[in-house]
Amino acid sequence: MSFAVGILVLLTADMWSDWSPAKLSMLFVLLAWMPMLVIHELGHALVARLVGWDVIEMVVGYGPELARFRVGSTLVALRAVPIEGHVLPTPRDRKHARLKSALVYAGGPAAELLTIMAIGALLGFDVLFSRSDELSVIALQSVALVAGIGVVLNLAPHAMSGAPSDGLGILVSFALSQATLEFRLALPYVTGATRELDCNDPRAAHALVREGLTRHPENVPLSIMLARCEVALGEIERGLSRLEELRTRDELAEAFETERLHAAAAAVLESGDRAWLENAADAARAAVERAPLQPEYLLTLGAVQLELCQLARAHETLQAAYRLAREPLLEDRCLSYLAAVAHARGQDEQALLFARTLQSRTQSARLIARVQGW
Amino acid sequence: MNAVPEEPTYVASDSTVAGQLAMAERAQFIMRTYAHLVGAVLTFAAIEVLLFVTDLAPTLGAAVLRGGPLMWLGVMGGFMIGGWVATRVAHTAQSRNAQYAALFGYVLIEALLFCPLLFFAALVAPQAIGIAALVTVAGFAALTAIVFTTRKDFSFMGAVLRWGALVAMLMIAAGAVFGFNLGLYFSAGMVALAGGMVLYDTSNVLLHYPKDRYVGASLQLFASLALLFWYVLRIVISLTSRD
Repeated sequence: MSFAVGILVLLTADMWSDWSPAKLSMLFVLLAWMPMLVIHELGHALVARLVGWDVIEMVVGYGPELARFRVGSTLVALRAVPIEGHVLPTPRDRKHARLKSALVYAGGPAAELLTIMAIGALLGFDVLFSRSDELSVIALQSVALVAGIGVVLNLAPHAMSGAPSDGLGILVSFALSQATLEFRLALPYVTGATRELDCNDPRAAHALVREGLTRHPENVPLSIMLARCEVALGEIERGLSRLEELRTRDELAEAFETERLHAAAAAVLESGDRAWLENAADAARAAVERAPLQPEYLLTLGAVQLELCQLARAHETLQAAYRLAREPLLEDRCLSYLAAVAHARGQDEQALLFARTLQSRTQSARLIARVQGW
Repeated sequence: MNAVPEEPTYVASDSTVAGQLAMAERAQFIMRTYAHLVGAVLTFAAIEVLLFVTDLAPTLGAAVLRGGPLMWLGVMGGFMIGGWVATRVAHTAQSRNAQYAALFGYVLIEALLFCPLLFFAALVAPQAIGIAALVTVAGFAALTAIVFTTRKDFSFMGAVLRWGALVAMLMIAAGAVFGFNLGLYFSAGMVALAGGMVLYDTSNVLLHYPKDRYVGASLQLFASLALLFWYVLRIVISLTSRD
């Protein structure tokens, strides 16, 4: 924090030394960044609604969550560092899904372009592209500059931590695999069920997944989630045999093999049945070997290692999961297990530090209860 | 649907990371990383000498200086894209040759980018280059020593460094578009940012990089070192010309 403040102080000093009205643009571009971020994400969300998709989540910023509220069926989250954001759109059916996906990706940069056009129309394009000493003109030009930078950065086709930029997203939308479409159809139900499981309500999770399977029968990610819910409800053998059936079902199911392995390990953890722990460790290890950068899989492996009292390994795996985690809830879960590992190793000071960090930031009553239990 | 580039992800050929290796293996990884960094710095210096000896540096420097701020913005944009591609390849390519090509490509891009600044420095304050190089090396060594002696994990700085890099990028773009010069205080802020990047990268080298990614690790360190040198040189030029 002090580092960030120091840099801001130096920038302010730079602005006032050798003063000219144009230097106020330094302040204006900083102030314009967050509103443009919101406009960008609203662009995605609006296009998603226009093409008949749902928007599960809209996140502005990253890092610790500051506020969370609902707008219609969309969960809106505001996070501490307003540099980037994302929306989670999901199709209702398979109709023209590839084209619609490309349009949704294009929605963000389109909103920024529209902002530039609107400012151009307001000021006149000759004024927009010429230098002026008028503060109102400099302010609007600064907003247009931020929008322009946003367009360039977002349309450049690249991937960040596995997530495609809008430009790359538009290109790959037309080549979306059947497996990806299946995953997107399942997303609202899987996300909701994961939250319910985290809130210790497997019945609600089960009902949600059942509802999803009624709409999209035979959907593989939903079947995997159903198995997890069944295990959480105590129907361990039924859930695990459902996962085993999926192993040899068809080519589409094969595309979800890593998720299936992870689900098997996570299900055993949820059940608390120690008889299956060695199998769970094998499944979690196999999932991590297939996707070593997936923090959720690392977290599950670390948790299984903890249950098996492989404490040094658990600590390292969970640290790796925490470093890769981008979602606050996932980070919180990593912290809770790290606290447990430290506690089990007799490192009470470190355990307390993890627990306090967790308590200061998490909104999950279940996680708080877990560390308080220790 | 993200807005700005973020820290690179490392694709290891196995899931082992440097911090998990046995002492000997980790020491070997660190030695390799710093050997590659020294190689990169020497290559950078050799390219600069070549550019100045063949009179290409004055041509390139004069062209950029004549082109004005928007030309400079274009050069910076090209540098960002080239740098991003090179970093990406060095961190993710499985082939060692591709990783070396990325490192060389990045050093070459940096050498070309430095041309106008070094040309300008040679013109107005020739002694500034030597002083800046000395200050940069001393600063880099001190920051490296802090990480190696404290063994503190500076990976928590990732968020603030990304935030700082974004602010810097916006300021540079605003300066170029609105036609004002970013002065001494901005350079001081950038030196602080580059110093933070050195701490962050060095602690990643010590604790987190996968063992087979020493080429990518050296590229990352070289990028931070070059950024530090750039702004130290700007400050030294500015102070020298004031004197």
